[in-house]
Amino acid sequence: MGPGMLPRTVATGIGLAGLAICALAFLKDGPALGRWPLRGPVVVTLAVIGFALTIRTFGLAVAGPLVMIVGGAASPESRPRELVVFALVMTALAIGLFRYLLSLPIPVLIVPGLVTI
Amino acid sequence: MEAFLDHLALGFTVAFTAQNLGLAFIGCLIGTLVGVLPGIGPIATITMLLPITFGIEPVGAIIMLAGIYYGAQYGGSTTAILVNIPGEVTSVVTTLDGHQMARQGRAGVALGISALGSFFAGTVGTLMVAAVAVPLTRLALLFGAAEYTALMVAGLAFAVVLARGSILRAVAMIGLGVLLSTIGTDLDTGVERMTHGVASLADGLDFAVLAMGLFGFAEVLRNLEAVERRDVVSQPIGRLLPTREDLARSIGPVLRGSVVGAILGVLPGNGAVLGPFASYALEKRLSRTPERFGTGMIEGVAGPESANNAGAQTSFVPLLALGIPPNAVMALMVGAMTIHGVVPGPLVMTRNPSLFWGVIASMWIGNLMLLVINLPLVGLWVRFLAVPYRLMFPAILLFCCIGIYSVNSSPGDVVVTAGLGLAGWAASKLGFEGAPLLLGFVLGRLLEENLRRALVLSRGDLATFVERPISAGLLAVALLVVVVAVVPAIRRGRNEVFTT
Repeated sequence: MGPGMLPRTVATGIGLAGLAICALAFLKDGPALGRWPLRGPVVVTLAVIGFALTIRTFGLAVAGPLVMIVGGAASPESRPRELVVFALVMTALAIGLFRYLLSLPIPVLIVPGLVTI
Repeated sequence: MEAFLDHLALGFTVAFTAQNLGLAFIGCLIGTLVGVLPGIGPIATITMLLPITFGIEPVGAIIMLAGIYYGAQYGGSTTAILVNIPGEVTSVVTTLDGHQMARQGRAGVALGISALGSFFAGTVGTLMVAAVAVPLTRLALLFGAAEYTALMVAGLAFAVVLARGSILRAVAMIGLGVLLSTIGTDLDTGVERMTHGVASLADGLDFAVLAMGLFGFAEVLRNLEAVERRDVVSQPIGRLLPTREDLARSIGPVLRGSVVGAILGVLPGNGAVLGPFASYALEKRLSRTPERFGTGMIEGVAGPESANNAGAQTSFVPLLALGIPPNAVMALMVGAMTIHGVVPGPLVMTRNPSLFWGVIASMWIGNLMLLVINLPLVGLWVRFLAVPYRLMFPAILLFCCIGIYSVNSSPGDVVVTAGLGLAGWAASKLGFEGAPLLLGFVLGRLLEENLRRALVLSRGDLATFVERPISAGLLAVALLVVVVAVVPAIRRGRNEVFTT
């Protein structure tokens, strides 16, 4: 009865459930697997990582439009010009809301050596 | 009785301050605003809006979150009626007759009766929460670690049975949630578990990170795959206020729906989802023209909508009185409360009565606000329905990113969330749902703590769980529920319920 008791028991249980699901797959036909289009997941993940990389170094004014414009490309229906305008407007709104209305400590704009808001 | 009124009076003095009224109002408003957007259910809405409450003191923040929850629920009903897209399981039933009414040009009446019914049900629910809370809390204080453990096991058993899709998959997801909750430093021994030397994992996986990954990002990835097809009614909304005949037909369903929903909502393990289905089935059975259900019968909107809201209300009972969240939405609430430094449980009522009763009073106020906000603003909500997904999802991404970053001011959290989003998306493609995982994650810590405390008290003897009568009873119920659900005949019935 130490720190490993519960995790080990639960992990064993999950393993057994996994084996059971595998076994059942041979006995009964489930629904088809379907397509795994990767454009959405890859683009969205890149956009979010871009946000993580820029939020501290450049601030929300850069990271915000970045995540929205890059992320927006995940949809085949996106229209570039509309997306850029929308991203800028939403970022401005988000800065106003989170930084000034709710005063959360989020860097707004950092230009190294010049500006830090 | 006197104590009951005193408590409510205390609650209303807390809730009726200008600030808290304002927060309830804003919560309901933005909750509805986001909840109305098709494809965004209450869980995603609360997750996304969670960071907005960070700067507010605990009572206000919880009042606002409750407002967001009601708003999201009501927004979901609006989408169900007007667009035929249920935001979550509980509004599936509303689409049946509600959308038909909208197609006949009676969308306004459907929305109106749904708001009025929900308000009535919300009132019943709030009174019930207030009435049950004190005795239940007293009962909870008698519970030892063994009883708590058994109660949580029973709750998880119900959650498995009431989850959508395969039972085995739901078990696996709950287990995974429990397992994820054990990451980090063990509180008893100080040993680091499953951190693989990553310093940021020493405090465990952050709740907000998990929720936003599974319900923010993964939801976006899921929706991106679906081809957009919206069945927005082109007919005018029409008059909002029901006619006298509509009211006469709705009174019975509203009353019955409120009672059914309120009772089922208290059940551990998401009994609230059963409310609307039970109410719909009940009204159909009682009706003189059951064959006309599904063609725009107002009874089929009034009953389930009331049941839905009553259940939403009373599902706060296990959370506030026992500290045990019955479903994923309430698990989110626990997470939110913990972020604000409030640990839900029987002690909240005695140690922090103004918080406890303030939240209960503001539940009713939130319901009133919904009535005041929603009906006059229906025109605005309809316009929100037209926002295309290609614009909606970049905004969701932005809000989630800001939200996760602001929890710990940590860019690393944002990357972890993106990874969890990918994992959640892949899991859901294989038929594994995120909601049981979240519930397992939140209950996991409580479960382990109580399990180990019980075993310490019994000197490691597992028999303690069956020797103590309450604990044995609860475990028996858990076992019974699972066995019954696996019996083929009932499983078929369960599938019917979820595919209506």
